[in-house]
Amino acid sequence: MKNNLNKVIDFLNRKNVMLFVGGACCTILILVTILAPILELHDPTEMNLSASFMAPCANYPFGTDNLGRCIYSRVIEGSRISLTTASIVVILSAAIGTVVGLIFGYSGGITDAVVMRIVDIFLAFPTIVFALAVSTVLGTGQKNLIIAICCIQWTRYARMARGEVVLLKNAEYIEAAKAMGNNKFQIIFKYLLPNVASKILILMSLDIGSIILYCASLSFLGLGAQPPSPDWGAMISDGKDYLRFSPWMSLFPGLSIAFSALSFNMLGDGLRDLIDPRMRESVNPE
Amino acid sequence: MLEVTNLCKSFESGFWRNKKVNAVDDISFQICEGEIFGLIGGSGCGKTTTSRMIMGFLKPDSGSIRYNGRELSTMKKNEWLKMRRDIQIVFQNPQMTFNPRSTVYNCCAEPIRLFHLAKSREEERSRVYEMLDSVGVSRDQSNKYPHEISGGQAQRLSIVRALSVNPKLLICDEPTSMLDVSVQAQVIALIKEKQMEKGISILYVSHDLDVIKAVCQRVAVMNNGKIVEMGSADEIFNRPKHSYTQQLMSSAI
Repeated sequence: MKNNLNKVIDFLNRKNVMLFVGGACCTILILVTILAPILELHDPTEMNLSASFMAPCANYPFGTDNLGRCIYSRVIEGSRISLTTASIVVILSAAIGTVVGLIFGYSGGITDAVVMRIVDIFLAFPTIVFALAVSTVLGTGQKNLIIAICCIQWTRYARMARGEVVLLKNAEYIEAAKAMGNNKFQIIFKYLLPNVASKILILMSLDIGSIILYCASLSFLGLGAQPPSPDWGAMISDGKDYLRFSPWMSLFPGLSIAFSALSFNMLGDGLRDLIDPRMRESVNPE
Repeated sequence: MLEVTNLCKSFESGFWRNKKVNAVDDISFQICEGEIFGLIGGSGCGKTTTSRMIMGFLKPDSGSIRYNGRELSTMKKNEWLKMRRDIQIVFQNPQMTFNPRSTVYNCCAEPIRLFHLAKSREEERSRVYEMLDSVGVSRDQSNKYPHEISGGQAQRLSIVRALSVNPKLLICDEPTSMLDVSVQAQVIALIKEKQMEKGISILYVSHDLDVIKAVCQRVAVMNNGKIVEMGSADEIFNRPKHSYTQQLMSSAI
């Protein structure tokens, strides 16, 4: 018993808590997304005007909105939209950014300098403002939202990958690989990519949280998924007019945004601490 | 076979690029077929810069490097890729020579894959095992990662790996300086044995006089980017003419 307690304390001291709590929350979220049709009590788009503005009760656990739709079912259905959008954005921007960063970082020279200045310009823009501008040009809708956020987000990966490559490319084993007769692309994809991959993965898991937030804020402004599809941001936006007498309309989608952003951030932090011990604060200064 | 003439390389430093270091200053030497040529010198005298220029990692400022009559210093990248089969290199730090993310097996199989030396997976496997056996590394260790095997094993593997494509010229850039004395002897014995077996030429770069004496037939002594003396090993070690060479000999314990 005492042994177990010591183990638990040791475990907490190593600060892996973040990783496990974050991982557990993310697993719950993903399960909810997959099992959405089973968990929903009502059709998320079904209107029932006689049951509008109902407070949370047994039949409608999170209450109903102005059109009598079940908030609980809409929040669950909304997780599908948020998570798929966020993961598509993260995967797309990580792929583009990593390839750009690897190639230009390895080549160096003037092209590298030019591309990195472009990246700097992108990074200097506030994401939301840039995404708003892109969405205005492309029009509203889920696809354009994804494109808009990707346009900004890839630069973070390009910077990260480039920085790592600049460090790695003078390593002796890269020179050895060159001496052995690997060409440029073999070196980039066989040697540099695996060595950069862990950092990129951490950044991806850290990014999902903020991308969920971006998606929600953009759809709050009416740029993302269009009604009647149940997007969290759009639901908050719908509820803001009735905030005084039926706060549950905005409260529950808001809570789910906070929960998912928090859990992915915790997962990312935990992963970073696990893989990159330099970033970890020392807990046991013996 | 390898002919280096009037090779120069300088590095610029300082905020305004106003400081200039002549790392390699007008050196010339030849390496003949089947010969082990030694290049000795203290730290920072330009030995490694020279070997890096011969490998094409650095562009010389002036001078020429000719290999069997072909100019290496102005060669295009894709021509170099074919040339890699003829010229191979062994680096100083054995553990850094291998990709830390791939297993010893994959590291050893890499030249075979790159130059399509094996027709099938089985042939590749048997060739890699042959390589491991020839340097006394057990086959179970082929699934380990480079940092899990010892420095001596890694260095011996990097030598047989370099030799697996049957190069005509091998550059050894201080291959023993990171190893302890007992392992040094094994590595030197391996290099000499392989050289006898295949009749390759070797450029052996080192600061270790004893090693050079044991291995090389001809020796050049470098100081501050210049070759101060060149001759047979016997001449250099027994009748050094230049003051720097004499100083070097007397500083050895």
